[in-house]
Amino acid sequence: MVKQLLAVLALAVITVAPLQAHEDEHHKSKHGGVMVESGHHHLEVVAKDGTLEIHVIGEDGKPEDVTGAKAKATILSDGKKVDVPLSSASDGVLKGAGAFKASKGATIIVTLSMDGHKPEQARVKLD
Amino acid sequence: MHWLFAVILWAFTLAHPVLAGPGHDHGHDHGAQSEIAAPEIPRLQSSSSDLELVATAEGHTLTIYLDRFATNEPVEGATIEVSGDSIPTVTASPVGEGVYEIEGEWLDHPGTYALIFMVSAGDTMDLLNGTLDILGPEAPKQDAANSWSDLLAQPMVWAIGGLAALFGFFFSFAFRPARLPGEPAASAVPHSDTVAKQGSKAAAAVLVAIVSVLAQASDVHAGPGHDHGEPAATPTGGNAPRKLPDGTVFVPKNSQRLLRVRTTVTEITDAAEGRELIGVVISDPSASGHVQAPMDGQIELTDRGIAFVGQRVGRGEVLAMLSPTIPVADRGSLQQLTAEVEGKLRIAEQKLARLTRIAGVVAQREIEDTQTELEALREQQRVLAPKSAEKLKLTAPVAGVISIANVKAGQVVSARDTLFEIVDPQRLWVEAIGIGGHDEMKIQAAYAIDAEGHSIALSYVGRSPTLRQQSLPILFKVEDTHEALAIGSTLRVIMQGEKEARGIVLPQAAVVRALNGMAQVWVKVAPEKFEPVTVTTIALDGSRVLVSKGLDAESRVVVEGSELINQIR
Repeated sequence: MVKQLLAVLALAVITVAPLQAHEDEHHKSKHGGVMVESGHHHLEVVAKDGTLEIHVIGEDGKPEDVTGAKAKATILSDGKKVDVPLSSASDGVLKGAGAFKASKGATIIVTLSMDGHKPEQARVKLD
Repeated sequence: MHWLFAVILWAFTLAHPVLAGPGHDHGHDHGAQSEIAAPEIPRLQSSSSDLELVATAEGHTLTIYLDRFATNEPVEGATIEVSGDSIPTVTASPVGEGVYEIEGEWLDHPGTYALIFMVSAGDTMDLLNGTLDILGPEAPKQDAANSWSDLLAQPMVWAIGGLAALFGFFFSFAFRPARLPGEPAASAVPHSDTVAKQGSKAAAAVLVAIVSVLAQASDVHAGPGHDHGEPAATPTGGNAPRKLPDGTVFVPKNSQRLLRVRTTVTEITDAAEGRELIGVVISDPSASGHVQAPMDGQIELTDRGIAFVGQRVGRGEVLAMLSPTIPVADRGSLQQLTAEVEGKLRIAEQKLARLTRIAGVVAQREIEDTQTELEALREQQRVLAPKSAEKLKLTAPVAGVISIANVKAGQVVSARDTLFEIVDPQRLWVEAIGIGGHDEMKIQAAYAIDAEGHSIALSYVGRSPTLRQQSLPILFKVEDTHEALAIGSTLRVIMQGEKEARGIVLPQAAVVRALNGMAQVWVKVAPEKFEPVTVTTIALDGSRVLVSKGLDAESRVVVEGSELINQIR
């Protein structure tokens, strides 16, 4: 009987253990920007007047390699649409500049195609 | 061995919650594209604080539905500019009420397209986005082929497999046959028995291990754990409205347009709490009347015939004539009286004739007396003579419409028979029953709802101090009547007191009955997805209800077309 109980307990351990694996710790902004989800990544969008910085964070919470990525931001601010091409600046950071204002209500759509991945999008509304 | 089945069963039950694990639901983020129910038709959905956009691709046409975020009203006259990587920028052309279209060769080529929609509608300008997955004809097959290799590529599967194998080994070791110390060599039969037993136990252990591995494997494979964005491509019946397994309803935009689905954003307010009673329409006592026969008699026609049901009559109008019948005894005494008067009259005439002949001899006073007596007798005769032929006019006591006419020409009626009933349909009252003796409610406003759902304003007239059927009748005056309101019909009467309740005011039509009979509303959780929410409601005024429980502020509740969404199976 003791053996059977032991067996059941052991099974319980196997089954439940992997459940505890998922924890969310990479959802806080580290650079004062807005955190959003795109398809496979967490993006932190830091917008200042004229410049845009995107921090790409992978599912593991670490900055992603963005050297091979194609990225573009479309910004609607003050009734004007501006396309801002983004290029890899440093590890996990995409940078771009354009004639836009990071005012309240501005909408930014980031289109990101990582190397070998499907394009992903994220939409941010500044407030 | 029964414990083995118990363990297997248990392993399965454990596996289930794992499979359904909530993980990390990125799909339904407000403002982001969300892939619900991924039907066969490639579609994308996007919404901002003002607008909501759904695009579906069929052939090389991309149909765009543009609606207001809060009300679900189609947005007309908008300019939509569609752009994206490796896609020419096109302006969509309007094809219908809030429907726009673009044509593009690129829609024929499989792939994932990240699209950006620049929408300007009136003074609203917005950027919306979404990714459109256009599957090639061979795409689903490839998915199926990938699934096993995907599974094997997961390191977790190998780890769990190894662990399970370890446990299997441990089990077969733990359940090995016990060897008794004083039993050197068993006979042939018990020996084989032990072997069999050992074998079955090992098999059991292996079975348990396999089950748990399978359970884990399907977790790793199907668990939404951290499965970002990748649409769970489960083709489920194309573009038709349908109920999803989780109880929500998928209603594509074109169906929403047909059903005229409109929503409202909820906000919490205070509203006077209502109370519902059952009422009956009665006529205003000062605007209704009966015409009764004042005496026995026979009905006769007037110049215009006899009044009929539905006829509008004025006050004092003649409805019918009544010629009184005189009872036999009365008739005898009348005849006797007539004969007597006639006899006296004749005597008086003769007397007067005689006196006038000798006018010089008799006193003038005597002649005048006789003349007066004669006149009095003639008057008597005149009063008596036409009695049998005289007719009575039956007149309307009030103005209104005849509601009952129990009268035919020639009919003999007796005194007190009700011949006509007249009511004024513009002046109706409602008598409501349902308040017990000790009610202190101060009635601020009252409404009645008839069978067709019309809301009718009422004003409080008064209440009876006498209990009837264990409750006090309360009288209301109908303020704005309509033609369908019939006397005697039953109404729901809603009284509003001073007490206020907090909640969300919704039109009555928003609240529908679920299959289990509970009141529920449909909340729009995604552009094409509606979720039923069970609510508690308080009657307000017939056309509106107050949702006191179950609904949060800032959610979009269906206020039109709710009944139709409720029918989707």
